[in-house]
Amino acid sequence: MNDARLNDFEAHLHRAIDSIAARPGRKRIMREELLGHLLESHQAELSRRSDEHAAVQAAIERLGSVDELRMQLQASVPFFERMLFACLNRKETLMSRWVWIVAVAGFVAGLSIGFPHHEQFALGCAVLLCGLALGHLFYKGSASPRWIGPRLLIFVGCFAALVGTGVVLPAMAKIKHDGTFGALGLETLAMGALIALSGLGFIALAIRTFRARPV
Amino acid sequence: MAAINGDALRGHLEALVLSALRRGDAHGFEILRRLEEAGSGALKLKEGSLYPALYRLEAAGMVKGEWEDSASPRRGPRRRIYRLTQKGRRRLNEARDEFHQFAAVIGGILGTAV
Repeated sequence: MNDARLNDFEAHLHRAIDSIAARPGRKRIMREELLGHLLESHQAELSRRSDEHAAVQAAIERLGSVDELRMQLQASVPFFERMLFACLNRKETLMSRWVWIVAVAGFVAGLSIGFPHHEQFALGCAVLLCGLALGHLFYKGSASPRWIGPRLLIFVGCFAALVGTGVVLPAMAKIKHDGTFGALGLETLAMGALIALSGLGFIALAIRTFRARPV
Repeated sequence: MAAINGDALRGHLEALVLSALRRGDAHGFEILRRLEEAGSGALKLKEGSLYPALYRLEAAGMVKGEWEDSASPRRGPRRRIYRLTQKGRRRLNEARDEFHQFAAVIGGILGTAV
């Protein structure tokens, strides 16, 4: 079995499985299991005929066409998972990325207007960042296009680092002025530091994602 | 013997898979081999339809799938081994009764004793 034949099988499965609306773990199981099946099927075909290329084609034909396979596999995904990932798996476009950037900026601006106190603003930002981080981690390792692109991660990371620094510096000034760690000052300081660190983490994740991307 | 293809098997595939697993734990390719053997070559199953059926049965708790031991000496991708559960056994018995009833009724209408 040479690499070219393996590539044929993988390409067939990729076309069938990649666009299925399902969680990445389920798709990985499908891919690995069906690849194993194709390899065994190929071996069985080879025992009947000597032409390797014909054996590969026969194995693929026995499994079914891409459309048939995709439709049947998709139908085996539970309803709610299918609906959820049908929404999330949409390919990221330049336009959708800007929609997200505007949405995040709008949310943060809304927080700053609605909650002018540092600690409330910081808490809102922390919740937002945690949500985005969870969203990104959930998609880590998935071959499907990511909901949060690395450029948006850099944007959010820089923004969070700036916001965190903007929260930490006044809190430190307040502590220095009061000469004591009041409960409010300490909480704000911790929250600001958390946001700034989250921002740096986002930037690091984005850089790693860029490096890991196939050219 | 005329081939029995996917359309004629619709609605029975899950029961056939459960029946194949009654003979013992097996991975997808082995299940297929057992079905072909039991069907004396008349069963023409699109192989791709087997796995969605297995996933549906697993989601319903009728079979349990586990990756084979990574220490296995076999080369190539890991195989997922499926095992019939108690719920699967019960469903297989029900499916068998339902099919007998169906065959008796339709056989009676067509004028052939079953």
